[in-house]
Amino acid sequence: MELLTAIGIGVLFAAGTYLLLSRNVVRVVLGNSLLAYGTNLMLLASGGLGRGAAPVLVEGVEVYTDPVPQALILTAIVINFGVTAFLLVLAYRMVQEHRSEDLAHLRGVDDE
Amino acid sequence: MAAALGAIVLPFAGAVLMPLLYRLLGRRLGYAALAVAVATLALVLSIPEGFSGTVNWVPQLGIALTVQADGWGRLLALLITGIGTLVMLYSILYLGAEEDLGKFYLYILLFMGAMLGVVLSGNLLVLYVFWELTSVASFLLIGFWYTEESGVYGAVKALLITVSGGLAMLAGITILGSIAGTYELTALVDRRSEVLAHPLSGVALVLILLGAFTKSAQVPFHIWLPDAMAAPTPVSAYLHSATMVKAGLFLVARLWPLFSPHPYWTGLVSTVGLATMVLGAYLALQKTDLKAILAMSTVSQLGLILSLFGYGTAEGVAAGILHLFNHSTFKGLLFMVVGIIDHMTGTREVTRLSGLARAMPVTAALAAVGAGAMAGVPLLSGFVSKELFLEASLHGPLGALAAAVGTGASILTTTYCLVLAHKIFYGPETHDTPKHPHEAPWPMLLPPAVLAAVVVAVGVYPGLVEHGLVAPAVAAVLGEEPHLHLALWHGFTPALGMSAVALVGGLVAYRRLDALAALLGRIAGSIRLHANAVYDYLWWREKAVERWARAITSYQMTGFLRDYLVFILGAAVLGILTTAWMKGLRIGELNLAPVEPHEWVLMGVIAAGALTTLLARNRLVAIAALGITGLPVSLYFAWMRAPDLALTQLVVEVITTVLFLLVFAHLPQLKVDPPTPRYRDVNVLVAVAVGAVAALYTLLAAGLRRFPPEIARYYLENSYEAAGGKNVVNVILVDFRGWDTLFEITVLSMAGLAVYSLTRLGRSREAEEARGGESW
Repeated sequence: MELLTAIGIGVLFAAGTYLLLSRNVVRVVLGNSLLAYGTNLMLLASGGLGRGAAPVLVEGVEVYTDPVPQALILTAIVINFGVTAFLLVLAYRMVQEHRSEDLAHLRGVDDE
Repeated sequence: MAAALGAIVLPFAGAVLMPLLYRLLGRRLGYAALAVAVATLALVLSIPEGFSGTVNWVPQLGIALTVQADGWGRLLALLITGIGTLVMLYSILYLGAEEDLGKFYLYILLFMGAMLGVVLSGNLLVLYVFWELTSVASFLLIGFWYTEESGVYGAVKALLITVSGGLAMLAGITILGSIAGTYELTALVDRRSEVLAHPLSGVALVLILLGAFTKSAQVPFHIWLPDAMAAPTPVSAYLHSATMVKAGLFLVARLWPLFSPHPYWTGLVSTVGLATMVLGAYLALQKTDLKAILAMSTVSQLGLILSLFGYGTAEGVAAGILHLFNHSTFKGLLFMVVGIIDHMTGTREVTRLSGLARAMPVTAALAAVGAGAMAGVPLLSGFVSKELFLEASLHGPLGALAAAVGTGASILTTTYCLVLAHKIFYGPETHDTPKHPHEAPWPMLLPPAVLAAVVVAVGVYPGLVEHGLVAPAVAAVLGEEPHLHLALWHGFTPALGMSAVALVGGLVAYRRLDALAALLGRIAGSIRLHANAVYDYLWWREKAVERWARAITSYQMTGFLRDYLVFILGAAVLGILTTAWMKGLRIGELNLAPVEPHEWVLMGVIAAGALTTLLARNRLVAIAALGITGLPVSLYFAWMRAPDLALTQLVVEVITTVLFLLVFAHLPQLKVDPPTPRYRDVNVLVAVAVGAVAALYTLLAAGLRRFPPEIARYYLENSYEAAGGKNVVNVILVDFRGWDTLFEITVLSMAGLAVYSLTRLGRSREAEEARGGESW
């Protein structure tokens, strides 16, 4: 399972990175979201996968999974939501101001 | 301690006051500067001999303000303040009332303080700081007449060359410090065997010598010194002959006890010194500007002294130190004489000057004393040290070769000394000069006369400086009592013969000066590579360094997000891979249990969703694909015993999708500009590399299990007792790490505010534009 997870994380990172390198601002935002999935899965995997019960205390259960990565990921998910929202609005404003979603135009390089 | 620290601090304090005093005193400001110099001289004289003391400055970095006023430091400090005093006096008449005297004395006192810091410091890092300060002061003084192009050119050249060398020196000092674990000079010498055995000691030596060679204008860095002559003559006399250019020699001698047994020592120091000596003398004969002749002769004499320090013999050190002292006095004297000639006739061109002795008899006598000392005429100070030089060269590791080179260069030296002392003062009187020549006023003649008196006194009775000044300096460098016997007459020695050859040869060559000049001109014509041309190519005319810097900057600073990311991610990938490789990280034991079918499905959907997002040409497809990637992620969380994550991910996923859809309503269709093939190839390469490293990293981390289990155990054990909650993840967030969560909420609210204001901003502006308001 770890090997499979690692491959999945690799695909998420690769796709996210490729989108991040794009000139289109919306693709950059999409890439950011994919990278966030990858990062969260990576955090979870680094805590060790599926050893013990969910960290909700129950009488008689001795072994739980590590709650620390989960707490970190929970924070990350929420923060990433804020970031995505902000980026989207920035993209929206950019299109309004410049009538373009091409990042190259922000630099003053025109196709014309 | 008070006297030593005071001697360093006083010139700085005086320097700061100069511009203020200028308003009060006007053109009499020079007397205030003179008073500061005299007071500093008194302080230097009152430092007890062999004094050393320490004030801790930055103990964390091993930097202490150690004052080391041994004989060597004291000798230099005396030269700096003594000649400094004379130069201040001389400059009072030399500089006209129209000059910005406040600035001039500010710079020159700044230099005096910095130079005293160099020679009195016992800590290499502190020494380095003062060292660079002298470069800055020199830059300001060379560029004092900054409206002249020559001033700007000379100032920039001197700064670039000496500071580049200084930076190399800093690197060398740091290596030395990390080998020995200290920057204190005395402690370094104590650990000499340890330092010399270290494989990096050679690198440290070469780097430090680069600093010394650039500062002391050694080949091929000698090119800055002639251009530094654009400075007012008092500055040339003070910085660029008597003191600052001696800093490199000072440092070489300071490091003598540490490095002289090093196998590179003689090869580097003496060879460079001898080459500089010959080249300087040869170039001096080609110049016709009096100050340029003196500059080149300074280069040559500095090379002479340097070669002596390189022999690694006690004899060489003694001769070097004595000649350094003599050179400071007679060269300072000669510069002042040239300044007087320039002042009184309006020109410094040798070809235009002749027969000045009739109008300026005192000046002519002073010039004869200075030039005679440089040529090594008996009964003048230079004779004694030149004898020692020839003797030490003959006995040194380079033997007869060094002695022959030294004698050859000395012949040329005698020749240009005759130009200085004879050609311009005797012969037919000239009426070609811009001003009608007449003798200078006595206050202007006094400083060179004092120096001339020293030159004659030392020449007649060398014992005068032997016990008080030279012997302690030699002892400080050698670390043992030297066997000096300075005398005029040593019997018929080989050195006496070589001295005679140098004098007679020089006289003969002077008689045939035109033939010699033609010969030298032909040699000059055949040389293709000039150090000056290299400098001009790199920094001045072609400005190659600037162009290269700009090319590199514009290559990386493109302004495209994509390019920055490629650099950053590429560096991250390489960094992680090299670290993993160098640390020998291996993928640990993996849980290779058979993968259940639903796990295959989960990962398959995640990968498919990611790739679809990537390839989508339609924005609705892209957003749907993103959602399709997110949902199995939350299922995966649930499967991996993380129910809270699963729930949160699900909720966030839904809201994000809605958000995307909302914004997409206002955005044009996804237009994907096809990147150029080269870009795409690089992008794919970077993306795949990042993905591979992420996968590798996950496997490494899973194998390592670096999350310390105690932390998890603490939370699991205390969750119920301390916080009364059974869902440990929730308890961590709202209780144990409650503050973090509070800040997280703050961040979210700020993002929310930003989103709100950004959308409102657009609307109010549109409204304003609709009202015809000014857009901004």
